[in-house]
Amino acid sequence: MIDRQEYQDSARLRFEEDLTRAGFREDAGTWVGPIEHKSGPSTVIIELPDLFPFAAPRVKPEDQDWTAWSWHREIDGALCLVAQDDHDDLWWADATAFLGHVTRWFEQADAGWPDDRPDLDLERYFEPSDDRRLVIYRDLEGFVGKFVRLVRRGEVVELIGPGTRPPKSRVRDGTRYGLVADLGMLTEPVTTWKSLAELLEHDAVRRVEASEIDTLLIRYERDGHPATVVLDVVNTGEGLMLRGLASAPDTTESRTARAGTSYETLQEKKVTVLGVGAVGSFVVDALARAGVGAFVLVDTDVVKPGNLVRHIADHRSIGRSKVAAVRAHLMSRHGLRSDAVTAERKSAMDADLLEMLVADSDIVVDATADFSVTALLHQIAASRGRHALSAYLQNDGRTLRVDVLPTIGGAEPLPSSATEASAPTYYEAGCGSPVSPTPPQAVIEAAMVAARHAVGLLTGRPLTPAGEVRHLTTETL
Amino acid sequence: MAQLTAQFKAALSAIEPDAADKTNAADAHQQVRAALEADDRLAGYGIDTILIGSYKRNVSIKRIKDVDVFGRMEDSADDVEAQDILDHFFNVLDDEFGVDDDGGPRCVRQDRSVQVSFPEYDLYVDAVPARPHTGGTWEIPERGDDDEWVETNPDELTSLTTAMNTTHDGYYVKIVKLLRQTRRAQMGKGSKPGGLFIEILTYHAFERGLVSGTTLAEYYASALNGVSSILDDYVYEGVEIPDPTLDDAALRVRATDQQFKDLRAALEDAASRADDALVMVDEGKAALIYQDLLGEDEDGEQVFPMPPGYNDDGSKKENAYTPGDPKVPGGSHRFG
Repeated sequence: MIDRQEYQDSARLRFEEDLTRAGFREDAGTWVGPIEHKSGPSTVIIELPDLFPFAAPRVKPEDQDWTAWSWHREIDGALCLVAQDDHDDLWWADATAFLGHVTRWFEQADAGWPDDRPDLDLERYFEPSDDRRLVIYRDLEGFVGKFVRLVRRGEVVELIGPGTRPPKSRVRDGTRYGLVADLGMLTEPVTTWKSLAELLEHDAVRRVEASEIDTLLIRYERDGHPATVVLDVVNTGEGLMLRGLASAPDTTESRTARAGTSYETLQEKKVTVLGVGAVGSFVVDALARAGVGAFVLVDTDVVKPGNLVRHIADHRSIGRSKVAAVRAHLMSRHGLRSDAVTAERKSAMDADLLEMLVADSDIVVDATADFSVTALLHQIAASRGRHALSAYLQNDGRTLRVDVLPTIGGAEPLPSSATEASAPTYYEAGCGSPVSPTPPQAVIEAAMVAARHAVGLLTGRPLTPAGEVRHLTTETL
Repeated sequence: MAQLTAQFKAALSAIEPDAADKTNAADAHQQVRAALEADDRLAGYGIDTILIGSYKRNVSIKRIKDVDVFGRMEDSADDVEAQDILDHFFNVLDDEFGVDDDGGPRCVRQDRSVQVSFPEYDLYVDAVPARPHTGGTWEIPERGDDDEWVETNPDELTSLTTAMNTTHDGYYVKIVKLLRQTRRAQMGKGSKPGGLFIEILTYHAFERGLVSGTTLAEYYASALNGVSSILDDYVYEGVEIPDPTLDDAALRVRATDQQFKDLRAALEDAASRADDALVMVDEGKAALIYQDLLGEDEDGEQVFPMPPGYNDDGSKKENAYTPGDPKVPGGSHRFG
């Protein structure tokens, strides 16, 4: 078996041998050679990084200015060849494929980049600012052309509204004063204060140069896709320099863009979860992340120290009822309104309550692992022509299971998955049942499977008619 | 086509004289030069010492055993006999360097020079007296009569080397070293003809346009073919090899006909094998050939290293990099 370094060296050997065959020659640790294309040939310099082949080679034109500057070049003039989502199979390790890619880059440049992917990455063209705090901004539409104030809040700097720097103000409190500008469509990246100033209003330029403004929130578009870059204006004594600030929008759109395609649909749904202990609390959390807009939580228990390792609640909830703890989690972590989460510190063994919840909810998820509750819920759901879910682990955590109750379309229920019970190993005082040895990772896995089935039912696309059983091996527990 | 650029560079590093050798050589020749230039008689002849030889031309290969100092005496009288000036060189240097720790003399009078030993460096310095010859060249004592001189122009070879190396983008000197090492590996250290002969052959091969390439591997194979061709003409066709430093003079080398034939055969075989290696796709097998051609260093290590990912026998190691080898078995379109 060869070690990591020799593996890399052997990949480098293969790449360099192929480069040589393609007419490249080694020059002071780099490789120089021709790329044939329509307006070429162009001589390029290829540099293999220390982490090759796990990291891609870098390519610069030998004549930096002969090749047109565009969105497709790095700040140091290197060609943008490998997108962050384009690492499949480390394709660049094959020199022939890599040189083909470089050739296509030049051909695209010759053609003016038709069918260009609008990577919104203007920040790539600025050196990072020494101020490493994250700048958070809300929807900037109403602030275009205006001066704004950004204040420190914990680890971030947040745009809080209009504002200008008071005379003689100090900046040591972390407050920044900025301008929001909209440059519209950019055909090539803006990389310097000089080039940016040509696109700004005269008054804005004056105030930046007078050090009244130290932050620029620049909106721009590429192929109709809007984006924002936030820049730190630094006076070096010899002129103004622009440095990139880490930034991110804090808008409804940005918060929901990663929640999945069912988010909008799930916003209108209400889910009841019976039992918000181990499995139930994580089911609630997953469904809230997916977009479910309202919950009813049913449980009688309180959060005990020993619960935390298998529960969504943290140590601050010890002693609180589980329904209150999970409700607080939904509100603080996921921003649900107080009236969207109902906490019922009651037993689920209540027929009237279940009748009402089945009728009032889009789905009821039973996570009590209580045979009686499951049986009762099954009966009520069937009688009302509805479907519920029951999610639980079996066999000391070696089996996870989700049942659709009743099954869809009269499908056969899944066969029993219970095995011989093992001897309980741990009891806690005051607790009638032994503590299950089910590990947290099995709990969370079961909860996620249940959440996927719940989303399927809520969106009218059930995953299976009867549910799902998965046997986890003891080795993975 | 196995170019193995990194391995050729490593081979050159392996045969490059050590830094300590270079430092010692510099110190030794400075001592000898200082002794000669301090002598009143030689000063009266306007002695001006310069370095010559492979060390000066930067074509030495590990290790540096001797350094040549050329004592040019511009104002030397024509009636000074060759053996007389050689005797004087000996006396000056013998007075300066005396005996070694074992009581043996450090200076030895040779046919054309005085050899000074530096036991602490395991190094010799050859001091060669020279007087002007017509036409801007020099002449040095020759074996035979008391006043036998022979024309030479060693500094010109330094100039030619520099110029040829510039013309070939630095490849010339590297190839001379590789061919000297090849001769040593194939013929044995100390065999004749020696390293200077192979250097001159290489110069002619380059000068005649017989050598070309874009990589060390291509230059190496091409140069072996070039020198093999020139030597073949010399051995079997009687075509003289010119001394590139003198007009209309043939190179004179102390070796027997059989020794020339043996070297010709070895170079022809080396050229053929280098051609084979160059077109091989399997870098491991190609490296084996280069290892055989360039031999081992004084420590018994292969001068030409096996490329990464290959075993010593040239076979590919298990788990060496293979194009398309899936290090991520799940494939693409992943999220994490």
